[in-house]
Amino acid sequence: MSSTSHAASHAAFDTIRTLAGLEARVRLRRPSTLVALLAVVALSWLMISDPADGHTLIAVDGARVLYTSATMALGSAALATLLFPLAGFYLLRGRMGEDLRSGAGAVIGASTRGGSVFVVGRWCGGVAYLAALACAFMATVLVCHAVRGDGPIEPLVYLQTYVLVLGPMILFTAGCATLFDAWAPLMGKAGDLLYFVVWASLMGALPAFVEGGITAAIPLDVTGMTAIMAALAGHVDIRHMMLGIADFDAARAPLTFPSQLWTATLAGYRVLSVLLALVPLLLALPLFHRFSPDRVKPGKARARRAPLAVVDGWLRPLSRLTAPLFALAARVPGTAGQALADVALTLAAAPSALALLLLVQLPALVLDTPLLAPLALGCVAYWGILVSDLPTRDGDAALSSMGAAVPGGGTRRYWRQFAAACVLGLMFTGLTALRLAAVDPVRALALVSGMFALAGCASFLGRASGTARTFLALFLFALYVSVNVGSGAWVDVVGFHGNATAGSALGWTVVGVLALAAGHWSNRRMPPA
Amino acid sequence: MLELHDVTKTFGKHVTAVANVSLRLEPGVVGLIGHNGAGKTTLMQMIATLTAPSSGRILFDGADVVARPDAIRKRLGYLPQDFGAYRNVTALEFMRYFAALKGVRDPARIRRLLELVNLHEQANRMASTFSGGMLRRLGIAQALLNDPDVLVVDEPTAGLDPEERLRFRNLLADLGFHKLVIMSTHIVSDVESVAGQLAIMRAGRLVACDTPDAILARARGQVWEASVAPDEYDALRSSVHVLQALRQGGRVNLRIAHPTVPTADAQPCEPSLEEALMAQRYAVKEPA
Repeated sequence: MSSTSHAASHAAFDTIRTLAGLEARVRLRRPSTLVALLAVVALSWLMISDPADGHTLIAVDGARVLYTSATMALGSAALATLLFPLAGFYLLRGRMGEDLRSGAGAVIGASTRGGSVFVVGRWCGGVAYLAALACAFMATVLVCHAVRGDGPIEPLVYLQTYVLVLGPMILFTAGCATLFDAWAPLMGKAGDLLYFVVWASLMGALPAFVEGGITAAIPLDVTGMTAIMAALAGHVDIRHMMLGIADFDAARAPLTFPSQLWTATLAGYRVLSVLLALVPLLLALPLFHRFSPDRVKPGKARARRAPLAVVDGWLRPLSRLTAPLFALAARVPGTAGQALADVALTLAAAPSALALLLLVQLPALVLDTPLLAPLALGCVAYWGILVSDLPTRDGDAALSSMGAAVPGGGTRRYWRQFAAACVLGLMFTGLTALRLAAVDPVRALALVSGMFALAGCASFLGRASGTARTFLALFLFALYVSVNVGSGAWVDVVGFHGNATAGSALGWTVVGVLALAAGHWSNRRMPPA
Repeated sequence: MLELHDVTKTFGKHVTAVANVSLRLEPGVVGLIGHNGAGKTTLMQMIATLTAPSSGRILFDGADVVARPDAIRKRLGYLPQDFGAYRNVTALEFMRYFAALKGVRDPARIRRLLELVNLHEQANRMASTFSGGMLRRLGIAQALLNDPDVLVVDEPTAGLDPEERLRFRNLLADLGFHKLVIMSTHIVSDVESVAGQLAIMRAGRLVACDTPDAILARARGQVWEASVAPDEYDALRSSVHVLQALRQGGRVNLRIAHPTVPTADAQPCEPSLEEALMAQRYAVKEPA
């Protein structure tokens, strides 16, 4: 009996190892991983600023903290732990949906292996993948240290900090991605948005954790931010600390963090955080749908469960309004007509968008000017979510080759879908932009240029990574930052705060043009089917 | 109408999917036959301008479609092997979308095509909830939207039930009276009753392009019938290509593809088109 159970657990372990290895390899081979790696490299170089430019990674009360291993490790890990849970989740998400579409799900469901083994295997693969990304991130930070550092590179200091800060966060992120894939109601766009709310709540709770007593909160904070604050609290005044591209006073004497910032107690707290980080995985085990056709289907069943799909179902009669738009699209020649067809299809597939479109026009006409900015922001948020899958729509529906065999082919498809995203953006915010233009032209310009840049990024990221989630994650993050950071022209992407300048609007236009060009290049290199 | 001159498609340095294919096609149904991996789909993707040849030319009514792909796209209907449907979009909206992309202005045509493929009563149903056969019928309706002169259909009967297959074959046969219909398949029965011309591909090469009658004629004298004992059968099947083996009583009745008499008592027989194609592969010497 004992040898039987030993053999069974050995077989289960082997399966988990195989699944995890396969999962990590599948993810690492994807174009989205390359995009993520490039983003990681760009991010690390951006936030570890060259002090000669007047910015630094960490500043305390205006004084720069020297770029020692402790500073670099702590500062970079702190910023990474804010971004990784968001980007990592969207990178990991959607594999079970792929299983459903490819038919592999049915094979897995009918196999003799238990659902728990499969879920744990998937989770391990996700952990390995995020750990690989974290290692790549650490490697780029080490290169930054070699170029801009003020002291010797101490690998153990880096390793200790990254393991303690990012370890629980990676386990939690992979657990959430697994849970949101394993439980049928959380599959799809509704789950994507719900996770964003989870992430935003985590971020929102951080200041409360810091003000309300750090020690008690440390084990509850899987991101590790409060642990970092606690580690620094004994050395500097954390209330006056700035992190990431921080301004500093060159006249003030720089500070130095000690090499050993982590105490045994803090490390113990982080181990406790690991237990909390495992909760999503533990929830995923009993909730796993095991690809049962009663619980998930690649078509109607899943769509019906999604709340937005339910609303769209109620509003379905509205989609008849798109018939004239389709007819108009057929009469307009060339790219313009095809772009209109894409607009019509987007609205037909999402009648809620059509309803919202009709609803926002009146407030856009009658609201006082100060209220136009929140209205525009709400519209931009909905629009971004709506158009996030426009560039990947054909691929998701296995219609790439059919859509590329029409006049204009795959090359024009890229441009017409971008144009459709822009037209939809103007439909949502055009009136608002016009009214803003009368009183604050720069703000109106920022709104239009910001949406142009976002549409360009959606087209590029969708084409380059092959999934809508890359853009969706960055878009939601950018929106979050844009709303919560009240200063800085560049951060005010769509002019919400009124801080955008003509220069920043022009800059975002250039970003949009560059993204479009990169997407065009990527589109030409990839086969359409 | 459609000419292919030395068309080759390579992927990387080592994979040649299509090698030096030359064809001249006129209106009618052309069956493109070959095993999985023979290069049929790649050839069809090149004709449908989805991918460009690595070398060679494809001319449509004299226009080079590699240089000017829209010359054929405007008059092309394409039904890929695998495709799906947009989520939350009805069959009617799906058709309206593709009609708009192709510049088809007549809304009545959408209705007519949905009736043609017997989906008019399902027009307001979500296309993503369609069965495989219904989806394929919607696909063919989409391909016919612009009244194409060239219809390229890749494995069109996969997943269809016998009745739908028959209906589909008849539809393609009707279209083939005036249009060029290129239909790839590895199911010979799909093309034997409708194709006026068969193009046979093997390992990326076009090994034959002829009428079904000519292919049958070539196979005569290479397909044999024989009745052997079970132990003889075991010995025989390692040296000849057995097309069919049916055990009856204590004997095994065989149909064999072979260039010469395979056994002493074997008799030549009338081959079916499928047997003729197998004979083409196994009984005839490899083309140079």
